[in-house]
Amino acid sequence: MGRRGPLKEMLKITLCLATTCLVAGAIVGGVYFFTEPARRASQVAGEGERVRSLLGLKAEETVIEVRRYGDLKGEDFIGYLFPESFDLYDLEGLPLQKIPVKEIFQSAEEKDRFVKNRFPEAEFAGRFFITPKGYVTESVQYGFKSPIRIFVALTPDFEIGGVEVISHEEDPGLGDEITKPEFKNQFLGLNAKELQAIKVVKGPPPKNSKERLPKTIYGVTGATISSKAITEGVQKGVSQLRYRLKIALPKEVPDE
Amino acid sequence: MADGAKIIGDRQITFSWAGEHLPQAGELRLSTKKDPDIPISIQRIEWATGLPRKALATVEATLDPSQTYRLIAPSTKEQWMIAPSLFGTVITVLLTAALVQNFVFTRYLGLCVFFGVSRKKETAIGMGVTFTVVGVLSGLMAWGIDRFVLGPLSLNFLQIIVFIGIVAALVQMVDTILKKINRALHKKFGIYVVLITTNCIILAVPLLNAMNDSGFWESLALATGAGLGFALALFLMSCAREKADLAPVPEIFKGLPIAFILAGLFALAFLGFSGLKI
Amino acid sequence: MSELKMRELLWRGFFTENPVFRLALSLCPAVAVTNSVKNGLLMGVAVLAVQVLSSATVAVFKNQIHDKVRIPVYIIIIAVWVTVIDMGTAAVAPAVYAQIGLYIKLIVAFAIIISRLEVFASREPLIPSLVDGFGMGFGFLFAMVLIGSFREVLGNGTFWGFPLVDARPILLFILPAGGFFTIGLLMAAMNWIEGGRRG
Repeated sequence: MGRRGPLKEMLKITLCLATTCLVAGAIVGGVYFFTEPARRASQVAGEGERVRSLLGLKAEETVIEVRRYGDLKGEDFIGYLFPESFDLYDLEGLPLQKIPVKEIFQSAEEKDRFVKNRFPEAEFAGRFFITPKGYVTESVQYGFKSPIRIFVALTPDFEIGGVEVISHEEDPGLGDEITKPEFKNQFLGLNAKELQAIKVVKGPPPKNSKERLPKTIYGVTGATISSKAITEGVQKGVSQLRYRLKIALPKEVPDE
Repeated sequence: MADGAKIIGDRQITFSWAGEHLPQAGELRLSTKKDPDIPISIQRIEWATGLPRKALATVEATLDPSQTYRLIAPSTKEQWMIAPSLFGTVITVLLTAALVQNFVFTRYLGLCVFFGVSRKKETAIGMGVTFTVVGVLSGLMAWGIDRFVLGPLSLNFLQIIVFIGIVAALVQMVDTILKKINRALHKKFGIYVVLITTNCIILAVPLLNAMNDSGFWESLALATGAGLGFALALFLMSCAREKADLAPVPEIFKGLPIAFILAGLFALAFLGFSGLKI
Repeated sequence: MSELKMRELLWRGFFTENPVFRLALSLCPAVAVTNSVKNGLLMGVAVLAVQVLSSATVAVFKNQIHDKVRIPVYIIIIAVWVTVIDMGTAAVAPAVYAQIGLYIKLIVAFAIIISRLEVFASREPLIPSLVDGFGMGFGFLFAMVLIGSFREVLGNGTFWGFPLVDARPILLFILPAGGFFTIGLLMAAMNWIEGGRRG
């Protein structure tokens, strides 16, 4: 063997590891290339489906996603990305600029890229959906141990048309009961004023529906924090959406 | 940007003001950092005497100290960021990872190693210490590579392979270095070092950091908290198992089954931490 | 390979060396994602796939893998298959992925998979390695479904989402701690069955 042995051995080992890493990277990259579009498409389809079922839309009625972008480092602005234009406003809600959009976006990532190309400092800050039968806004509120993401649907008169929990990590059997219709449906039909006056009390609600207190959300048993989080998320989502729609789509928002 | 703005109580903010003209409530704009376009209305501002002028602003809504707020004076372009202190955030992340969301009892991670080495107190302590040290090292390395290499090159889909590679390399390195430097220490801790590769917490920490887009200090806190929480769980469990070995346990429950029942009881006890507001 | 040996290999993964109940390996998902039968089954299928694919890969390439770096190479092989399955699930079944996503990624660190590669697939030819991987993976799947059914029926009063009895379920079994209790009880039950067979 002599002195060549170990050197050859080292070379073999390096070659073996390098080949493995290269092949591994290639396989993973290839699979990513093929599955990523499918993942994005199914995400968009899934969200669209949720929005439709919240507002009871028919198949031919369209859902428009409006993404909001903010820039905190450079000049302060808030931008709303509509299908035809990217509308910029200053913090006071005065219009700054309207950038026409010619592209047709397939996914959220493409929209983000469109904005980033023009405003590198801009960050995605939130979104809502516009449909012929009302609006759906996304709201994030910190729950028992992690953020809970919800969709709140509003009719054109700004009454709550439905609440859907999109993602959460609450404990199974306790906090995750917030996903049950018995809890979520308590918000149905509330208008903006009633919503802001609402209180959360410990559940379960009384069996006899006449004994139910007005202006009250009955929390999930053993998960008052999660129930309050959802309620606050709905309140915040609705009041912020009203404020922003007045700026971005002034004609469509009814007065309180 | 000026400093010195602070939240006091539920609805008040103090800040100091250098200008001549003292602004009224309507001339300042308060918002959260996340929603800068939505103003939080300021009800009134009281001014203290003396220089620099200190102000106490009372606002309409309840303020949340874990949020970052932004106070702007549009006339002078002066701006205050009211952020939760770094120290506070780090302590919160650390305690949350160690107790409220203990990786073993509420996230059920690292169980193979947990049941494997919790039979004796001595092995439990050895594993706990080794894991915490290696976990913190790998957590920081993974954070650095994710932030400065994978992120900018948008190679995020390689995360799993890269993170496990870091762990494997680090374990090999620690093992070799320990063997060269301190043989006694290696004899004592070497076996645990090798076992670390099969502890899923070591992989969960960088993945969670990447998912939450954590900064350096938060990543460090999560890695440390995870390690300490794991060590605590191991120690508690080994104490209970040493007792259970002497207790008259039914024949079919001897060994692992009773250990699982004990772990279940610990998990119930740790549920008590989860209401904790830190 | 004789049929007898094949059956023995399968039975070993399924019962005598069941990865969850006997070897007490790959426990994290066994506790974490088994609060319903469906989640348990899906996780089981993911692990089964990773185990079979990794075993096959190692069995095919074992002569090319240098002995001194075999462990890192095994880890990379497992990581590749896990990433592939991870991306596949995210694309095909996003609802499921939201629930068990993190645990799929953590399959990389499962002791059971790498130990089967080291103990079995690196020494035996392709077909027995496949059978061994299938047996072990299936044993894991069986354990996941068993624990999942136990917890869902007792803790939620349902099976695969369908309500069974109109009684108040025992919440404890759905709670995190319930997973530990369930495994403890099932292990004891297996001890009891085995004791009965011997005696």
